[in-house]
Amino acid sequence: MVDARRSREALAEGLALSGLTVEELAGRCTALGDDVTPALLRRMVGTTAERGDHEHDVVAAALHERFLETGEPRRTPLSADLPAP
Amino acid sequence: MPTSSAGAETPAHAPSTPPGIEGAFAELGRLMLDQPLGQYLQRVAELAAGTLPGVDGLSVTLVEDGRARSAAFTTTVAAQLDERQYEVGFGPCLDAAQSGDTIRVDVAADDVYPAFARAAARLGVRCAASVGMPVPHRVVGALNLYSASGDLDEETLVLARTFASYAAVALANASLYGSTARLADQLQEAMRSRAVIEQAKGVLMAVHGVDADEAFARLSRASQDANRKLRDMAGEVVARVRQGEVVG
Repeated sequence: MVDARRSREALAEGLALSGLTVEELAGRCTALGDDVTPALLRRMVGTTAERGDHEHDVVAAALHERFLETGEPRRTPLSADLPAP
Repeated sequence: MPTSSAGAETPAHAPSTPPGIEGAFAELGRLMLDQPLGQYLQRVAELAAGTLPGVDGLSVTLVEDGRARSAAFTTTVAAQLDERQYEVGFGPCLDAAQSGDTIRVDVAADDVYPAFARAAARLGVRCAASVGMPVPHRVVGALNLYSASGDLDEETLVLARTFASYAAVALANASLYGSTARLADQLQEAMRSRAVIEQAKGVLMAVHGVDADEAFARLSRASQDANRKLRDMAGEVVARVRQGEVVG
């Protein structure tokens, strides 16, 4: 299980850098094959609610795709790259 | 508690005398929804703070795109305690905003939000409550009550939920929602890309004997390492299989 606090920080920073709304990012997660709802995404970026490695990685991958489009050099770390709880 | 007259914006209606519960609800019913959202919420906050027994400070939290802010507040203590929660990304007002629930915090006894409780105690707050405003859009919020004088009882919270409902109506009417056309386009594109990703995951599951989540993790890692889109990496996996190549 990914560290919820570090995950939240990484995803919130990524969302801020992306310039996307929560709905737009959720739509991009859907494009990657997983139904991360806006409500779940809000919880992931706005709270330290528990989340799985896979949930984190889907959002991180969606942000990575956005950064490739915008030329943003920073990357949102995958769950395996975050320090263990 | 120090009182600040500096809300998010200048109130649209500013009678200084608390109007009582009936008067407050009557005024809420007359508030115009076409005024700026901040002005509307500031007046709701002032009416609620002037009406709800035991409430010394009150604020309205909005969470938009994962970012929280106080759209209105009646005391600096309320604003400070809100801001502290936004900084750490955790606290009763954020949880209430996300869930739509009512969360009550007895500062002396709370063990769910210990850091918040310590900060509240330092500022003279003994009891706090956040009433969620379940608005089904990308903006959610909460009405936050702070009491230095003691308990916030159930009757007070029932009244607070009525005030919160007025604030929720204002949110629902505000022009803060994303374009449905844009979202529809996104969905169409989503359906195209997820098909190829599902195929690639299936290939990796079969070749490596891993589950779906691990297959996705491998695609994500490859995508980041190659600095290419995950959907393009997936398309490549599928294409290689079609050409009879062994996928590593």
